Amino acid sequence: MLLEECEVLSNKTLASGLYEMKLEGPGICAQGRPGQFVNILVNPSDTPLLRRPMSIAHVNGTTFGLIYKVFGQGTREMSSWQPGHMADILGPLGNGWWPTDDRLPLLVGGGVGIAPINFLHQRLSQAGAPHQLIMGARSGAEHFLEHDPSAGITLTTDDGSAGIAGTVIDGLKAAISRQDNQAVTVLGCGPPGMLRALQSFTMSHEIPCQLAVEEMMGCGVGICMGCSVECRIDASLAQAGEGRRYRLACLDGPVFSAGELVLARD
Amino acid sequence: MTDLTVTLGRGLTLKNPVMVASGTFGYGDEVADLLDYSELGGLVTKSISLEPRDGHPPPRICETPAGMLNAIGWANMGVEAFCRDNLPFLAGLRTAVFVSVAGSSQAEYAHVIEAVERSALEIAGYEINISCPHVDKGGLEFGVSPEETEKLTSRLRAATERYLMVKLSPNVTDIGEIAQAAERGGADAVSAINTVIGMELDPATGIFKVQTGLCGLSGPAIRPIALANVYKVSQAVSIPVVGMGGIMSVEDVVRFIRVGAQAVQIGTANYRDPRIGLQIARELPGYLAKIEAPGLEEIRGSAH
Repeated sequence: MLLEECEVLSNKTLASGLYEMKLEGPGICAQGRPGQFVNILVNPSDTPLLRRPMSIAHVNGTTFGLIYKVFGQGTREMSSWQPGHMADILGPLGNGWWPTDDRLPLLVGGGVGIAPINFLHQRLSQAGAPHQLIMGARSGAEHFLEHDPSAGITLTTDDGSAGIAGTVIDGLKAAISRQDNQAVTVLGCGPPGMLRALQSFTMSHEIPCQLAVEEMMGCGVGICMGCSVECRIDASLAQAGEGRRYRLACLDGPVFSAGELVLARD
Repeated sequence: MTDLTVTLGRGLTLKNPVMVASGTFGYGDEVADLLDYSELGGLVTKSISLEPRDGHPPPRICETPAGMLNAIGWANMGVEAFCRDNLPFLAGLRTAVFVSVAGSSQAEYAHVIEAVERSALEIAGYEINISCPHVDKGGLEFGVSPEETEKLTSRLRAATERYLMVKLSPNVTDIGEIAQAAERGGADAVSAINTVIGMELDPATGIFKVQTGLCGLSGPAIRPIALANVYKVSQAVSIPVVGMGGIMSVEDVVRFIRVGAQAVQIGTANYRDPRIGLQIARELPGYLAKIEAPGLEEIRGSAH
């Protein structure tokens, strides 16, 4: 974890409603792992008061990328940053996806959850590690990759304008059907509805699954305890005093084993 | 170099008046990578209860104009795990460490202090979070009643020889009266203010932004409320007052000193930058020189 003054190198539209920012940050790049995030100070005034947490979307040398949507005041202001702007960034924070023995990783991303999934895809590709990538969006205009199942990239769209018409679960089923009974593991990130669907699908098919959650955060480093995530309490752990019902997205996550998460309705 | 030391009584001297507030610095070790604690005047831990507490369900926080709302629900590991896992680290820091104490009965507060005392680790003292619901009094907070505040303070005064600071809530009719009750009970200092009761909701659905509905507002949005309360408390008691509420800068620190605070605590600003407390402490001599103040003592209580 370090605080780094990062220069914005580029900041532009990546796909419909989606921005990509590239920043110079040697320290963050050296330490960052897929699933980890950075916490960005939007401006030095009192509003917005809190930093904005964003997953690392890729790392190239000493440059890292963010992929984000404009949701509110903070991200709107960030979308106006020009190359040369210096940003005060704290990171890398949290825990990423952890290695999964010899199971084939199926990477599933939706919404801005595609950002950390993209980083994981990049790292596995660089390592020559076989894996499949499944990305979901409402329409083709929101995608920035090409649907190419032979290259391990499956896109889904709600409106059928690119890739498979349907949700990431349909994409996941298609990717699984292409395997010759090889054991798989699912590594996912996306909006709450997608996480619930992934949790339900993987648990009913007994597929190991690690999900990265998105939570409102106050600090990103565990000192405010605001980003609570409800977890199932294992009775034996509870007796040992370790069965904490609420864990922190920033410190204990954002990646959790799907089986331990209690995912609330929207 | 301007002398920044602050004398708080009971033999306690802070190297500078800038502390970090309870609930805004976790258990203390989370941000050890980022700062040198020895540059802080003091550190107050998150509130520790006798048993571990889960805290409130999400969402626990919400950003508001120049502030934030929270309802964490005193999520903490309980005093036994705290003494075993965190207190050794805290006791080793070269800054004044205060353990914030929470309880749902007078006895629970006392048991927390007794457990910390039994650990025989060196800390400066305690800050008593009296904004806890009193289960024997129908969940009414200790801190809204002068009688309960005095009784609790004298019970805890008997439990420790260490520094005892009582943290006051602004959500009362007369904060000066509560401060006097803490003074009569034997408090060495009072700190003020805790968060201001607040609420936010989605206009389209009516759903509260923080799960509990009623929650606590902090940040620069409450600074004028905090200044007024610290001013009132300073007029009401003769023990030291530790001021807090929305401090973001060295100028804010001096504002609190001028309304009578002996020292200050930085709260919500730590979420933006955990180093802000020591940065402000570093800037303080320069700012005092700029306003031609020889020291803190010369400007304390000078608001007019």
